[in-house]
Amino acid sequence: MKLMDVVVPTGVVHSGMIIGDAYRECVTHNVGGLPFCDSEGSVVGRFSLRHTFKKLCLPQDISHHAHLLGDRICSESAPEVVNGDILKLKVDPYITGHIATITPHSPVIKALSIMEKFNSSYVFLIDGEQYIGVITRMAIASLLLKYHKF
Amino acid sequence: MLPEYPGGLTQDMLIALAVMAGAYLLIFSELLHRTSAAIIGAVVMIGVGMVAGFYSQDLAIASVDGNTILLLTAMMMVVAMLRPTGGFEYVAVVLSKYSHGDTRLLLIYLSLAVSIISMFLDNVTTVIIFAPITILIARILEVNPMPFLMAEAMLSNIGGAATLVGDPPNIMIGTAGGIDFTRFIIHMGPTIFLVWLCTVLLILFLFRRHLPKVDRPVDLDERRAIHDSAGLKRSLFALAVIIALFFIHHLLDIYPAYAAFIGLCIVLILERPEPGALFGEVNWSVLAFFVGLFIIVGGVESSGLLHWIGLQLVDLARDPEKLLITGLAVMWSAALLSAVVDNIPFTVTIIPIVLGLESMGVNITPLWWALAIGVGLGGNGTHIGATANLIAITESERCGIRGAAITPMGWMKIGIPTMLYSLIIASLAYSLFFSTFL
Repeated sequence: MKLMDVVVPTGVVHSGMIIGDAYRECVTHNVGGLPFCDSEGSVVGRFSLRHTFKKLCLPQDISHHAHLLGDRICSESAPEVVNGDILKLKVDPYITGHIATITPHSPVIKALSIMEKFNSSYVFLIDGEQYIGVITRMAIASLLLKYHKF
Repeated sequence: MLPEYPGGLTQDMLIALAVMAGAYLLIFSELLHRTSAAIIGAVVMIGVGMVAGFYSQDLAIASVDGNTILLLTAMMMVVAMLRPTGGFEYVAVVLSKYSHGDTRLLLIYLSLAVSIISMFLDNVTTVIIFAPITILIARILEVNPMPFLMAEAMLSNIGGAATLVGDPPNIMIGTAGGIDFTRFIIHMGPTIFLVWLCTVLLILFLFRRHLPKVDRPVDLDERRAIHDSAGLKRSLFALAVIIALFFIHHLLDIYPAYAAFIGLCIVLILERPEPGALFGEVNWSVLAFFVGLFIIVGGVESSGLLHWIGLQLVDLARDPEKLLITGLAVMWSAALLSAVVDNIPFTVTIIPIVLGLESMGVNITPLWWALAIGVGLGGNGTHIGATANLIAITESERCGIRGAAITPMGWMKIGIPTMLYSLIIASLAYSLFFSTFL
């Protein structure tokens, strides 16, 4: 099994793009994050669904005590999610510097290891400076099922 | 045997003073982390002292207050066992439900809980645990969490001043003055309780517009707060043993640190924690900071400078009629300094001076209480006066609730009147019942 067999080609996020467009790209390709590229196309950051939710509408006091929460808190405490305000914001302040990448020659076990190490469900596949796509656990599992006709 | 200095400052004293001033400048300016600054200061003090001939490695080791360091270490380990059980969160949620939407009652309940816990455990840890759950409760009730966070930080500082183990300066004062836990709480307890009560009333008055009655339930399930019920019971049992031993440690002729280690042994046997989980939670940085300070001040003491300062003060302090004034001066200067600089270096430095006065025939007992009150209450004046204040500010900024962020000016607007008011109350109690502090 090669990584190129399971890569999910996606668009990338640029400076000035709004969160709604980035979300749409993530949803279309069923990935949790996208690379953030500079004007020359180099991957310089990462746009992540988890990170934007965490920064925009998930205060630490709520997430830290998630096990205590009743059912009334969510919508009342995060009106910006309910009315969609966060979709109109620019992505720039919510880009993280940490980027987990692998190359097409890397074995699948390395991709899984990096995802495990960085507590992520995906990793970017990069060939030199060229971004190719996203490797997800879901895609690897899907390919396993397909290969073995399970 | 310390030499006499009829002619004034010697070269050794000036060298030691310069090293200490340099180290304290690094600590207070925050150019380096305070622990790094203290370690560097300690190493320089030993080196310079050895060359000049007024300090040695043996004296440096002897200057470290083992009781303080070991007591703090043991209590940090006990807290490390207690914290993950969820017991603190359980208390906060239950109290919030008991307040029935009356936010003034909520403030009193949470502050009372934080204060009582801070009497026996580190108040910084207490505020670190209580602040996020307080914000969540305030968020659910749709009220500003700022008054609650400020009240918790300030009242935990006050609560910690009541006992020998509530605040690191108290441990140092107790060890230096030979004051046991029971004697400490008997002398400090009533005054601090009075100060606590008056401060709560003042805070309620100052925040009266932020504390409405709300008609919303606290939608949190306290039963889910406890992660490890058996672990909580075992840790509480060990803590109860420690507190019981604190009350009788002087009768058993054991140090408070040894009492804390007995309790720690109980929890180690019952809980069998992973070493990483236990030792990883100990704040080694704080302990190293204290060791560094002890060595720095040990060098200054060894140079004779602190004895010389004591000689300058002895005439004032020796006069029994002026002892009350001296005590009040110690209390207020300790408080005002503690409001703007770390109270630990101040306490570590002043303790040998007070001890020196005793050797000159001064009754220093009332000065210990004055010092403990001063450093305990002074921290409330500014946001940098106590670590608990900084925790409250950080949490208020992080929560993102409009109007909740506490600015340094915002803190001082409430903190300075509160500090002055509590000092006036404490001074009145100290003056009116001065005979009990002798």
